[in-house]
Amino acid sequence: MTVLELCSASRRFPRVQALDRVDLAVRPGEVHALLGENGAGKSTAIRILAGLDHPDPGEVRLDGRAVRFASRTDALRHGIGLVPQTESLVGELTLAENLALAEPHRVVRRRAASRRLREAATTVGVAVDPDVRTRDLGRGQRQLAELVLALAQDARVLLLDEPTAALGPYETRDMFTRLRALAAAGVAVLFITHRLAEVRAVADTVTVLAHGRVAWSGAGSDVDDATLIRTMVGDLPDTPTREPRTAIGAPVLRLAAVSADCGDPIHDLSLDVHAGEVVGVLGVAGNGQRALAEVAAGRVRPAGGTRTETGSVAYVPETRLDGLLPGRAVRWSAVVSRLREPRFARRGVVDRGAVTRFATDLLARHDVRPPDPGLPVLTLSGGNQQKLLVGRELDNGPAAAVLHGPTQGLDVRSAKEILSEIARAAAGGTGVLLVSADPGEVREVADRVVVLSGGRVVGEFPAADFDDALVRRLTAGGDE
Amino acid sequence: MVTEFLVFALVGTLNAATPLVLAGLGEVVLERSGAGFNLGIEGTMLAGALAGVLGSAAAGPWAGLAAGTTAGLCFGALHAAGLLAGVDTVLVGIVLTVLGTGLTTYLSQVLNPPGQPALGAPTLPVLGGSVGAGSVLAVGLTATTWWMLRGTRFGLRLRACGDDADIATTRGIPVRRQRVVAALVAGAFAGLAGAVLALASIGTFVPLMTGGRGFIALAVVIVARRTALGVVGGALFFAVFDALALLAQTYDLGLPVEAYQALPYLVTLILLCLEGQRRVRPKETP
Repeated sequence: MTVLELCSASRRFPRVQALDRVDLAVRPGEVHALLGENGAGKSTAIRILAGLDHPDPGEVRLDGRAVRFASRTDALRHGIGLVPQTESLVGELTLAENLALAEPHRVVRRRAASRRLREAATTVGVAVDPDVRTRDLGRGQRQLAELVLALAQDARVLLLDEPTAALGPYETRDMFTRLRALAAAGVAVLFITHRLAEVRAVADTVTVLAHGRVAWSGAGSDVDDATLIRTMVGDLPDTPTREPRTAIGAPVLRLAAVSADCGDPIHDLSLDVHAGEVVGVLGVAGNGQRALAEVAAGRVRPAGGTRTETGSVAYVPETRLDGLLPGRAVRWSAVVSRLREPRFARRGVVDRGAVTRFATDLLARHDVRPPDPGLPVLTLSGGNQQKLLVGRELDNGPAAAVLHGPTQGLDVRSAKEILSEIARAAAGGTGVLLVSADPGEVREVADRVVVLSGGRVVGEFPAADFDDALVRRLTAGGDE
Repeated sequence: MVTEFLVFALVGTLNAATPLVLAGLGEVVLERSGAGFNLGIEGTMLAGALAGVLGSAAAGPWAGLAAGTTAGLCFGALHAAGLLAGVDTVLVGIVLTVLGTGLTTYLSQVLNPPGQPALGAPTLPVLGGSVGAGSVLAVGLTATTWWMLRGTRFGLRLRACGDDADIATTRGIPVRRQRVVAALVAGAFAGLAGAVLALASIGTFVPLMTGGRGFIALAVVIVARRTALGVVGGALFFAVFDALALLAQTYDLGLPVEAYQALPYLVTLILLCLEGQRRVRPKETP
């Protein structure tokens, strides 16, 4: 008995086949996990089911009949609710008002809306106050509120795109209890995750997507963890044999018992980075990475503890355009962090020629293409923007460098180039702190690995001990 | 003497507050839709004032109010066109104000030569006395706007657009359409405000007669934190000083008349500085 299904659905985007003849079926009363790496096609599949995109070719079937939803609202009218990865509640409005937004009545029926939300909340056993501005709810509460909202709109299929990405362990467990309750009430639940532990905790059925294809599908009880991981990530490439760096020197950046907020807090965190060393920071996103990077880079003063640096500290922030001047010519981004140097100014007036010469040289050294210092930064591809930023920051051999997700969203080639830049900087004596979501790249370039969870360092080991078993434990979310 | 002064002060305050309330309400609607702010209120009010005077001379005071509103609606349509074309909100506003100022100054010389008999504003009987229809309308429209923003789906959608346009779009709300409607409403309110201003005070049109009230209306909305009810409070507050400036011409209030005339603008400046202080106060953690 299937409610909603994808039948041999394909979807191609420029340069990538997001889905390739995918079959996927959700049934009432069942929690179905859609598992896969980043870019495996999970979000595309859910977007299609929710009416935000269309298969080409292929079809969506509802109760066995082919359908084509005009929009998310149209899909919702057919009982298909989506809890997207990014929030979709209007923060200024209460939950009841958020419900009223989507209703056919021109005059708000506040009391009726509140009552329906309370009923829906009871079904899943959540205590959500429908009359509080949703902005004032906690992150976990908002996530549950989205779920209740979909339910109050009579959703019989619920699609959740990484519902636990922003949640802590306690909230995650709570979310799973609600999903089970929903299934028990006869709702079909499909949720995206890339954590194996979550599949084990809540799913009846598992579908693994890899490179846009269904790599495995069936009951969760029929398969062991090792098989799931293998189908999900493929065979992990061998660790490149790398000489351990011998020239590791004195600490260049020390964090002693620092605490900071930044919306993603760290507590009592101590960490040293030595000259010539690459320290990789791993962990599930949202566990303090942002605060750690900002504090280490010296952009945010810690609320407690001390930070010591011995020289200049370079910083590549998580959002690359934060470190560049997006609308202006590349030459200005190339020098913006060192315009004070005397060579760029003559009696307080910027020497345009010197800036251009320096920028041209920098672009050539770091292989930024096209190597034209006059082009606006925004016309460069993401990979070249990142090479420009990383190149500028690492170019003059800083004492320490903090890089937050420097290869995020880049294609394999650009990512490799960034990693070799990092390795080169370390060989030149820079102490590097690499905050990353990708165990693969950390393994490739780091000397030492720290694992971050809940804003604390929960594990630290030399990169030599960093083997597949550990990758598995991290991927599976077993680091909590 | 004292009683008489107080009565004049009270009436003067109400009269001065009415155009500010009307223009402010429109601005609240516009700002809550996330369509920026309207620097063109001043020009729109002038257009409303001239149209109000012309309409009133031709077909009576009520027609005057209708004509002012219509003129404002036309300016609102220009504003909406600017929004749709993606023109910077500051530019659109400045254009509207320059246009309204120039056009009304020119047209008033052609169509409404000085020396015409003064016209009156429509009045409504309230509690045995007669009250300017503008003030009654202002009270009614305040209540309507307040209810529209929190009690109708249109109002909720408007606020959703102002809160986060991306989220509003994913929720299936036509953001551009909402904002166009908001710009039209804002224009109509400002036009009505202009007509009330002209008809209820001197009963004729004088170039530049708004004297910056369109900009004070913007200040009122800032102080009112963009709420309909707040606009009434803010407008009354500013109007007290406006009324004082007027009374200073009749009564000897100790200081030179010019000092009182500068007062409303001075108070605006001080209040905006205080409001700005509140906004930039640094948070505990960055």
